[in-house]
Amino acid sequence: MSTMGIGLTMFCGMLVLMAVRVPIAIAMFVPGAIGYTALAGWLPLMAHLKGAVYGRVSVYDLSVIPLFMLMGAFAVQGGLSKALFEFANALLGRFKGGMAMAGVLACAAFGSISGSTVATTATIAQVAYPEMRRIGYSGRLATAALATGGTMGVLLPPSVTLMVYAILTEQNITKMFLAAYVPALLAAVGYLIAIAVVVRVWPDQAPDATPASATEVLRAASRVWPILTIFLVVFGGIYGGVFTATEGAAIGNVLTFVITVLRGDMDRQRLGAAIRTTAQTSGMIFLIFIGADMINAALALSQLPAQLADLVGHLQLSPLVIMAGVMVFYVLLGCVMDEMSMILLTVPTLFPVIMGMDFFGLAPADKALWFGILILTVCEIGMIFPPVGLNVYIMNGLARNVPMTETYKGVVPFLVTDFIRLGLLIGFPVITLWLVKALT
Amino acid sequence: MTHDGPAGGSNPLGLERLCDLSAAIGGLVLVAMATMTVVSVVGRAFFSHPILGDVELVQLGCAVVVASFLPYAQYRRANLIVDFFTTQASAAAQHWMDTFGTALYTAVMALVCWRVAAGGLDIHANQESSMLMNLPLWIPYALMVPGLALCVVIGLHQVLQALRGPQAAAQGTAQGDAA
Repeated sequence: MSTMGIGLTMFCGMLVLMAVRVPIAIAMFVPGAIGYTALAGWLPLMAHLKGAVYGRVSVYDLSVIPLFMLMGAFAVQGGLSKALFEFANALLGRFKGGMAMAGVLACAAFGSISGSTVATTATIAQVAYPEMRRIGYSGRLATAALATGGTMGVLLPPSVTLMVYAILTEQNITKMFLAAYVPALLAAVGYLIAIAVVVRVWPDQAPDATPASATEVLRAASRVWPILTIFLVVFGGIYGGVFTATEGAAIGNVLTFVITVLRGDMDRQRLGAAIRTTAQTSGMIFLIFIGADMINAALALSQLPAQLADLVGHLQLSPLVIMAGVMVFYVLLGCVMDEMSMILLTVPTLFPVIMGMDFFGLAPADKALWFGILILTVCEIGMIFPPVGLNVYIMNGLARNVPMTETYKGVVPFLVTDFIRLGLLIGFPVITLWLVKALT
Repeated sequence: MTHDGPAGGSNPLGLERLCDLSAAIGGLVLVAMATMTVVSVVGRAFFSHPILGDVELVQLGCAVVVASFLPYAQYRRANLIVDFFTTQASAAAQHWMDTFGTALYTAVMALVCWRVAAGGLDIHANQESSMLMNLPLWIPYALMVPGLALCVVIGLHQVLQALRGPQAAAQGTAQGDAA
C-alpha cells in the first residue's frame, strides 16, 4: 500500500471506530498508532511515544485552558450569572422580546470571562429560562434564544476552542483574543435583530414589554461589578501588554475566588464542585489532544496533508471557493462530531493548505487569525445546527417540556444571521483584523 | 454526546475516592501554578523581581495537571463519543459497543503509561534537566505516571463491570449511586 493509501485507511478507520461509539480521542489514537507502525515501524512508534505525550502537554500556553476553566467554574459556583441577566433585563425589558435579548447579552457577558461554552449556556439558561417562561415567552423562542446566545462563548475570549486553535497553529493568544471581539459583536447584533423580527412577525412568541424604572436599572447595575472588575483586570492587563494570557488567567482565578468568598458565595463544597468540573472538562479535552496528536503524527508521516495541499493547489479554483468548500465541510463534520475534536483533528491538515493559498494578499499571520475566526464561527453554527447541536441538547436538558424540534425551529432565524455573518467575515477580513491592528 | 452522569459499576476498590483524590491533586497543582504566577507578576511589577523560571514551572506543572485530571474524566465517563449513528441501536448493542470502546481506552492508556514511564527512565539515565532552573526533567514524567496508571485501573474496572452484561452493569450503577 502506498503511504497515501495508509493515510486514507487511517482516516477511514477512525471514522468507523467513532461510528461504533469508541471515545473520539481513542478512535483517533488507535488508527494513528497502527498507521505509524505501518509507515515507520514498531520501534519508532515506541520511541515517539516516550516523549510525545509529555511534549504535547507540557506547554506553557496550554495552561490557559484549565486555568480559564477553573475561573469560569468559580464564577458559575459563585452565582455571578444572576446579576448579569437581571441588569441586562432591566435595560432591555422595555422592548418587546427584551428578556430574550437580555438572555443573549448575558450569555455574551458571561462568555467574556468563561472558557467553557457549555458552562456559559447552562449557567445563564438556569437563571433566564424559568423567568422567561414565567412571564409568557413561548418555549420555542426561549430555548432557541438561550441556546444561540450561548454559542457566543465559542468566539468570545477566553474561549477554550479559540485557545486550542491558537495553540495548534502557534498563534499569539492575545492577538487571537482581540480578533474575536468584532465578529462576536456582529453575532450579538445579528441575534438581537433576529429576536426583534421574530417577536414582530409572531407576536404570540413573547409577552408585552415591561419597562424598568431608572432606580431599578441603577440597582441592577450596581450588582454586576464583580464580573466587570474581573473582565477589566484580566483582559485589560492582557491587552495592555501588562501580562501574558496565562498570567491573566492566574490573576483572574485569584480575583474570582476572592470576590466569591467575600460575597459569601464560596464554601468547601462549591470549591470542590468547581475543581471537579474543571478536572472533568479539561481531562476530556486533553485526552482528545493526545489522541489527535497521535493520528496527526502518523498522517504527517503518510504525507497526506502535503499531498492534499498539492492537490488543492492544482485544482485551479479560486481560493474563496475553496474556503467556502472548507466551511461547508466543517458544517457537515460538525453534524456528527463535537467542535473541539473537529478542530484538533482537522486543523493540523487544513491549516497548511489554507496558509499556502493567497487570500486578498493577506500576510501569513493575518491569514491565520482570519481563518481561525472563520472556523470558530462555523463551530458556533455547529452548536445549534441539527441534527446534533450541543447547545440545543443542553437547553433540552433544562426545558424538558419543550420538544427539541421546537428549539430547532426556533433557531432557524438565528442561523440565518449566522450564515450572513459568516459570509461577511469571509468577504471582509478587515472585520476580523481591524481591532488587532488598532491595538497592537 | 457525553455519558455525563454517575460512573458505572460498584466500587469495591474505592476507585471513586482515588479519582477524586487525583482530581484534587491536579486542582492543587493548578492553584499552586496560579498563585506562583500571580506572585511572579506582582514581583515583576512592583519589585522588578519576577520568580526565575516561572514559565518552566508552569510547563512542568501543566503535564502533571493533565495526567491527574484524566482519570476523573474517564470515571465520570465524560470522554466524548459520537452517538449520532447508533441512536437506533438497542440498549444491549450500545452496551457492548461502549464496552469495546472502554477496552480500547484501557489498552491505549496502558501503552501511554508504559511509554511515559520508559521515557522518564531514559531521561533519568541521561540526567536531562530544564534550561533555566536546572530541574531534573524525570520528575514531571514520574509525576504523570500515577494519573495515567489510574486511568488504566479505571478502564479495567469499567470493562470487567460491563462484561457482566447490561443488566448487571445497570444494577452496579444503582449500587454505585447508593454508596
